[in-house]
Amino acid sequence: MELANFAEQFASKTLKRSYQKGVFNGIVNREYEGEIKKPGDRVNILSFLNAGELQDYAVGTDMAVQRLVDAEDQLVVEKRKAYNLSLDQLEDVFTYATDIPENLIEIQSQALDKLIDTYVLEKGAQEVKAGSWLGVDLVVYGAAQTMASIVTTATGGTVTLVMAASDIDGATTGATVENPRDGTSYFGGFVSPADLYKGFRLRSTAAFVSPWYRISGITSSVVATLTEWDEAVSGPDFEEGYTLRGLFGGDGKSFPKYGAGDASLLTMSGLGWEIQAAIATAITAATIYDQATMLAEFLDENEVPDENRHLTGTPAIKAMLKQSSELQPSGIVEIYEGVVINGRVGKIGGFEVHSAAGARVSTRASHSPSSGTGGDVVLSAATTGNQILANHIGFMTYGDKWSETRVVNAENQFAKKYQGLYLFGAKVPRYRRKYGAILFGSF
Amino acid sequence: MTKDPVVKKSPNVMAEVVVNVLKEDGSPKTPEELENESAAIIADGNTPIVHGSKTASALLLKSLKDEREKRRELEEEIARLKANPDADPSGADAAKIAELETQVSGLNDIIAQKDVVIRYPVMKDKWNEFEEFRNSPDNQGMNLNTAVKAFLTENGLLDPVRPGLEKPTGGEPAAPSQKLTTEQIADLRKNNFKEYMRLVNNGTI
Repeated sequence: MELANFAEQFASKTLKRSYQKGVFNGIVNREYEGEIKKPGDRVNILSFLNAGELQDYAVGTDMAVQRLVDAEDQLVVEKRKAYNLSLDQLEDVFTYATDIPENLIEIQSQALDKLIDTYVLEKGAQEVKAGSWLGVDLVVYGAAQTMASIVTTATGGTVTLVMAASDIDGATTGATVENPRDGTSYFGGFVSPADLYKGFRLRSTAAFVSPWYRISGITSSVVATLTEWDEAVSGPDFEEGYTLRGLFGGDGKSFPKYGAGDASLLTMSGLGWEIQAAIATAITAATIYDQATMLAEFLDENEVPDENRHLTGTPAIKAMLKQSSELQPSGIVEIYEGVVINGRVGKIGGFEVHSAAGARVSTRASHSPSSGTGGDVVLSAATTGNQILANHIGFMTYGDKWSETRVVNAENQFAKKYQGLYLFGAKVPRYRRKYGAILFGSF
Repeated sequence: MTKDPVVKKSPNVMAEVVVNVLKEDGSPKTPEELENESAAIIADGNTPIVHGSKTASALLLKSLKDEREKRRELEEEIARLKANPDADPSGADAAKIAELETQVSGLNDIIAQKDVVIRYPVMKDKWNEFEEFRNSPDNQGMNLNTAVKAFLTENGLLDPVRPGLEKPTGGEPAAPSQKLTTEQIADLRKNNFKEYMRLVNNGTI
């Protein structure tokens, strides 16, 4: 191979290896408009927001026109990663082997696809629709005292947790609450970043709740900002004058407009609150199949197509799948043999399962356990949970470009250097957040 | 000793009926016996042979040359026999000379026919019609070549073949070469990354 070809060959071979071995290439789409030319470029992703409508037709009556509401989300090419390899014996490499050594491509592409996998899986965990998290919920029951209240804002709303007088010590507020879900005591306020982007809802009873709202920001232990899962503030399914949906409550799945004649949750008293999947749940061979079916149920409820669904977890998932097939023969699990592409290791519950090695699967701390109240609240170390992404291929759009590739002479040595620049970015369009779900769990 | 068969012409068709000139005991047949035998074969309705029709077009010329060579040999034999009449007091050579002359005459016909078929391949399938044309009262006695040309002209077979419309030159463009130069690869990478990625994935780059 000539030296002049090395730069292009290195780029193409490294990319090809990364596309094959990296998990990311099997779980994202590339449906964007435009061409990526330089770092920071923005390309458009088109989404249609409103559902299709049919209307009754009467002869002699004009038909109403359905306006197609579309939105363009923008994918920003926000990441730029560079190679700068010293190849002081480059010519020897070529005389020794007729092509770029496979192990050079292997180690360089491994670094690249690890980088991209980590980025994609972390971004996915941050963008999943509020209400599509599977873990242990933190529940604070309402009582005679209202435990949380929401005030709507231009972008959604602000929630304020109400503390008992005993939980306030000067400027310090804190409470320890017992979670009825697992019997453990946890900090009775917001924890950042553990609770960020998860779902929050008001609760009157188990059968009368608000929809899950997205915790978009945590201002303090008692104040957080909320948005709709798709960041909409108006539409045909919003009550007039409100910037959050379902403020007149529902049963958890159905939220009739203006409710059943009750007052809105904004003025109701005695409400409790919940944070969805605040604590990591246990993932075992005995539970993995049920958990996968529950993730599938999240997607089904959001009318996500059955095909092209993916579940990405750590290598422990593969071991559990094998064990699960022994424990639950009815839940047939197929483990792929032969060449592994994009980390595919099997199928379960309608998902193609991908194994992401190393630290590619993102983690976060659970909601902190605690003891004491007020100024005496002591937070304990929280368990760390894996954020196992379940998504349809339409969930996330990925864009990349190998922008620069060249071989240059080293300045102060009689040697050569290879330099390459790889740009990439990903975006989950707001309307496509419902195409994903998270299993927040620990092995 | 085998002898070449006599080639007889059937009266109405310029084709041949092949008859062996020797009896089973090896003695030569008389001309009357040959004539009667030929007439009997024709009367049976055997399909006359058109010389050159069974030979592949590519081999016609070679077979024509072979026939001419055979004729030359026979003519040399005739000349040799005629040159020394006193060496044959019994007159057997005279019979042989007559026989050879008959064969030469037959070969001349074969050669003429093959020559026509070589020059005008369309005559291969038209020979029967040509024989009828040649034997008609208006055309009898015409030289073979003249008769062939007259026949072809009358039937429009000498007209130049009209090439017709040119075949269309459109259609699928030739597939581009799969091999890309380094410059082309770099250009794709910079300006059309989606296409570059597609070619990387399918192994072209």
